[in-house]
Amino acid sequence: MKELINFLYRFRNFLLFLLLEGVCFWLIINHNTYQRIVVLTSASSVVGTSLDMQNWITTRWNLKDENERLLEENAKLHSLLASQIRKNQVNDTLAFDKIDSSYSQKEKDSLRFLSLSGKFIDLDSMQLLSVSEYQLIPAKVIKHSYLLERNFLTINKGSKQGIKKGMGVITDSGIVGKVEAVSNNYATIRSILHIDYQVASQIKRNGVNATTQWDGTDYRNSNLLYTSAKDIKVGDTVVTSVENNFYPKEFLVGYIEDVKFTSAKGNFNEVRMRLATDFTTLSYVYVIENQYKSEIDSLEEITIEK
Amino acid sequence: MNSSIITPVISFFIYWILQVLLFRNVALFDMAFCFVYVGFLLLLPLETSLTSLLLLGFAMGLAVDIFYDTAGVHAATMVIIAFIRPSLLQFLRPSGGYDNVESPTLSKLGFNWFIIYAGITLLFHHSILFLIQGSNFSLWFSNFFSILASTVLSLFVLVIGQFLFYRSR
Repeated sequence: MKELINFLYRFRNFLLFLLLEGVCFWLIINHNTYQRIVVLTSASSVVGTSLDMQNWITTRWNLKDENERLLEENAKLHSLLASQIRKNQVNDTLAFDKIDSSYSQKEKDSLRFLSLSGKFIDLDSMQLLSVSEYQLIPAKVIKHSYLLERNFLTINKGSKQGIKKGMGVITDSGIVGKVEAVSNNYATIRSILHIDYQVASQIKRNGVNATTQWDGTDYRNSNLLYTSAKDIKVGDTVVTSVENNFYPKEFLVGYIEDVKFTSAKGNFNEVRMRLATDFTTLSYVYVIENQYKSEIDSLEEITIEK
Repeated sequence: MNSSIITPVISFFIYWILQVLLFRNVALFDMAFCFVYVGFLLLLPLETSLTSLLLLGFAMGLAVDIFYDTAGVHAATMVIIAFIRPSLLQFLRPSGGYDNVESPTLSKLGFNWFIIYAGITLLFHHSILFLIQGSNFSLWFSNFFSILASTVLSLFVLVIGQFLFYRSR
């Protein structure tokens, strides 16, 4: 017994070394579990506050308030406009269906398109307009990285402002990521520049399903995986899948830049795309609250139960 | 209270704050990063026990991890660096030994010695860091340049710091 204690004492530092390394690698491997311990992330109030202070110093402080005010207003206008469009769409559909049956379906479609495009010309350039069923919560990015392999952002809104885990985050130009850890006033976001994060996507032109996953090399580009279809061209637009509940449906992800059909992964293509979001200049983002999500979820639950 | 306890605590916070608020934002050419917080471990007094080194290294690593959202990567690296520090100091022992030397600083042990000591430690640290962080071995080549560039940058900043703040001691 005494020898054992002596032995342990002699090797105490080595044992401590092993113990600490064990803790570290447990944290690294169980990163998702770790994110639940909000105190250990940049969403914790101490870290968040100091990041906020740093941000306060580094941003041009006299423009800050004005900026935020405009952003709020923008968000309001966007959702207002979007709900208007949706109403119009519904009205138009009803009107056109009523008009008569002498028009062919094709003519009706083109008429409907004309009437819509006459009012709001370019939906592509004003993407936020299409997110009608979503509430947008504007937030300021107080910390971001894009040069690591697993990048996270920290924003200055938390559970008090209605941010919840799993919400999607976008800018007006494209998707950013999803909320991962939330404290009272701050939240961390897993960026799409994170090698373990996949986003269900599709090609806008033909609806071919694919998955966006970053490969950790260049923050301007990303991979598009699991696309078995051959009908993909350089320049195609990649949008979020209609089946996802986190992002607005068909919201911009990026543009196809390079397609290699001879891939090591069997039938799948190797597709590179240019991301629509510029991560170097990210300063404001919108967190999206899907107002119907809880409804959708409960419906899905009921369906599964049955 | 004993100043031998207070000084490391103060320097812990100084290195930590400098790292997470200032040098976290430094990235030259998108590839050279600056990890000056290693200097905290590097410059602890010579008589610091291995137990304290391990615990302090772990604490510093975790404190940095929280700001980087890297979950244990920096902590794991710092614990390894802390573990090899006594052996490295033994290996680099100058011919006169470490008499009258409290901490392994540039002013006490000379420019060349410090460059070798800090350079080896930083190279170790950055290699281990990128190895743990990188999941993809196809990135090894670009990481290799990143490791070298970051080592040079961190070393440069540490040496400047030595000239500025550790001179008169």
